[in-house]
This record gives sequence, structure tokens and C-alpha cells, in this order.
Amino acid sequence: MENNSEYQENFSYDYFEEPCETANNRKLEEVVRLFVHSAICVLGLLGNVLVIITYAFYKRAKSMTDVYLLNVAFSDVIFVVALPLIIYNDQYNWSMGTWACKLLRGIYSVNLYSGMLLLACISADRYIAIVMARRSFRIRSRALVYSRVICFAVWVLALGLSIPTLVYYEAYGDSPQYFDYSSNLTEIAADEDTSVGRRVCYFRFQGNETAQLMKVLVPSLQVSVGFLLPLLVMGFCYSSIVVTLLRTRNFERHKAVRVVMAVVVVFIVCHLPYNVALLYYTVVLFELRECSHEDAIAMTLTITETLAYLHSCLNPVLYAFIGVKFRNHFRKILEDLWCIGKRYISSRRLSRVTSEFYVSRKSTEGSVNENASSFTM
Amino acid sequence: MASTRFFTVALLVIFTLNSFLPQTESVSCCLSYTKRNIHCQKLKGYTIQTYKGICDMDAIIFHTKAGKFICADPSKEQTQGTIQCLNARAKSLS
Repeated sequence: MENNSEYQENFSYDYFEEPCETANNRKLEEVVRLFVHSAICVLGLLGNVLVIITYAFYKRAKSMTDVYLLNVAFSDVIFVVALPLIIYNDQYNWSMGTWACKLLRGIYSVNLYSGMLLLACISADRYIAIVMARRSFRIRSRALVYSRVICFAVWVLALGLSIPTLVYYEAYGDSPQYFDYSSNLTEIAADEDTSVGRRVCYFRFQGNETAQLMKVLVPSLQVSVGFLLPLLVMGFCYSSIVVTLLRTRNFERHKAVRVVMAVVVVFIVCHLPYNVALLYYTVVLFELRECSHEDAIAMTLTITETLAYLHSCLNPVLYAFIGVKFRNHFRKILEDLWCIGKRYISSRRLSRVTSEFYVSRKSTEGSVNENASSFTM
Repeated sequence: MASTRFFTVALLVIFTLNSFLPQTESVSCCLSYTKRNIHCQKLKGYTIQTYKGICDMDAIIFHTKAGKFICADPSKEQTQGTIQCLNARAKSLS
């Protein structure tokens, strides 16, 4: 860049189009990956593993929502484990090869879809429990079977939607055929050093048609099935739930409404910016554009994507730890861990108080509240 | 006092961590084409960019002797002419 002006004098070109490096985005990406993504990975792993442990040891997944929450936690854990591996490989030239590239990107995609669709399932389950409370008794008696079938279907669908990623992602060097006509050998060697390029893990196609189709289809599917569909389902279910809750006379309804709002607002704040950016990126994909513009798009994608990643560590808080029952089970884990550490009875008194509190609370809860127990704070 | 010390330590940790990471080259792609005529005497060679890979448009990237890269539209006659000129030059040299 420094010798640009000197070069222009020699060459009489005052302006030419160079390949765009998106240098600002590269710097931003490095900082974000190092500090934000690592924090998201640690927090996400911690929160979701706690959810899984709670279900595994203290609370057998009884209701439909339990099964969904457990699946969301699994999906988030896998995502959070895949993320640092992707970042590591991106930094070190995809040294693990094409299969690692396909596998990691595939896992990323499967978990993106399954996570989003399961959140929609949770909203539908809560809708059935609260809005259709009378009719739901029959449905919910067979709920566990249904929820397992639905979860299986969600995972299969997520896998199906990830097939293009699994098929077309490859690890390859990004500098293709270079036709060198210079007779100066030292110059070639110097040039090879800089233009050999690094390996990337990205789409690679054989034909022009598939390239054009898939480069548009994959992000479009992600926006429509991985965001708009769950958003519509959640929008419908949670707005009906809020209407129903506001009609009932229940002292805890305001808290429940607040929880619903938190779930929806966090979902929108985390995923809307990324999906808007992704849609815009897909629209301008094949158009001629300025490098500064491309850099801005890339930076927007980096920031909004991070916001979307953040959702995987907020899920345990928004869905599991916000519920009274879940919190009580979780408290028991902490107490048991404390007991193992201390081996003295001093904490036993505390656990009795908690269980009394839990029983008394449960008896005061009405039928709507019982169903909405995952909402109560 | 304690907070400033904390920030100093945090910044130090950040910079040491940052220096351990290898500086990655980002992939560069042509996003627009030059409108100017390119003299093939000043060129060393060229690379073909296709949208079948990481880039999203077709382009010819000319490598100049001064170590610069210029994006050209492969569908333009000018560009094809420059490539032919390079080919002819290579033949005359050999």
C-alpha cells in the first residue's frame, strides 16, 4: 500500500481495481474471536452442561418441554464445542483437512437449525399447555412419546437442511491456476511466497449452475427455515399465550408475561440483525461492488453473527434457570456438591427449608400456573 | 487503584495472547473490474478467479511486474486481447 503513489507515477494509472482483502474485517474478526467467541464458548458450555447434568441426575425429563429443553442444551453444547475447532482450523490453514471442514461446518449447520426449530417447538408446547389448556390434557398424557418423535423429526430435518453444506464444503488452497509469463526466476519465487495463499474451508462447486444456485439457496434456507419460520411460530404462540395469561386472574401472570417477553425479545435481538445482514449479503452477492462496501458488509456479518452466537449461552438462563422447578433442582445439585465438599450436616437444614418452600409454593399454584411453571420466576 | 491495576494486567494478557495468534491472510477476491486498458508489457502473468469457489464473480487478475494485482472483466475483448498478448510474448521468448 505504501508504494502505491510511487507505483502510480511509474505506471500512469491513477486508479485500478485490486482484489479486495477486507482488511478491517480481518482485524475485527481476530479480536472478536479471541475475546468474545472464547467467552461465549466458556459460558455456553458451562450453562448448557449444567442443564444437562440437572436433567441427567436430578430431574428426569418428564414433560414435553423438558425433552425439548434437554435437546436445546445438547444442540448448544455441540455448537459451542464446534465453534473453537472451526476458529482454530481457520487460523491454522485447515490442517485437519477436508473431512474436518465438512464435519465441523455440518455440525455447525445442523445445530443452528435444530436449536432454532426446537425453540419453536417449545413455544408450540407452551401454547398447547396454556391456550388450549382444556383440550391439552389428553394430548399431554402422551406427550413424552410425541415430544421424542418431534425431536427426532427436528434433528432429521436439520440434517437434511445441512446436506448442501456437507456436500459442497471443502478445504482447499484459495489461489487457483496462475499463469506466469515472467522470465525473471527470482521474481517468480518471490511472488509464489505471497500468492500461494492459505487453505480455506468453503463452498466449492464443479458447475456454474450449482454454484449460483447453492450460493443463494443455502443462506436463503438459513434465513427462512432457520429464522423466519421459528419467528412466526414463536410470534403466534407467545402472543396467544400473553392474551390468555392476561385474561386469567392469577397473581403470577405478570411475571409469566415478562418471561415470555424476555424470551421473544432476546430471540429477536440476537437473530434479527444477523439474518438481515445475511439476506443483504446474499442479495448483493453477484453484483459489482466497492471494496470498502464489502469490508463493511463483512464487518456487519462478523458482529451480528457474534450476537447470534450469544443466544446459545442465554438459552439455559431464559428457558431452564428461569423456571422455579428447574431452579430448585439446580439448587439441590449445588447443595449436594457443597455436601460432598464439606461432608457436614450444616447444609442439610438449608435443603429442608428449600423443599418446604417448594411444596408450599406448588400447592398455591393454579392449573394455568402449573402448566406455565417453566415461566414462573 | 485496584481497578486500574486490573485493567493493566488485562491489557497485558490481551496483547500477549494476541501476539501468539498467527496473522492470517484473508482471502482476497475481485469485486469490480478495471475500466482501463492494460499494457501487457507491464504484466507478469494472470490468475483466473471463478465464482465456483470462495469468490462470487468471474475475473482475470493480472499480476504486474511491480507486484500489483489488477482485476479485469473476462468477458471484455480488451481483457482477452491482453491475455493473447501475454501468450504471444511467451511464445516469442521461448
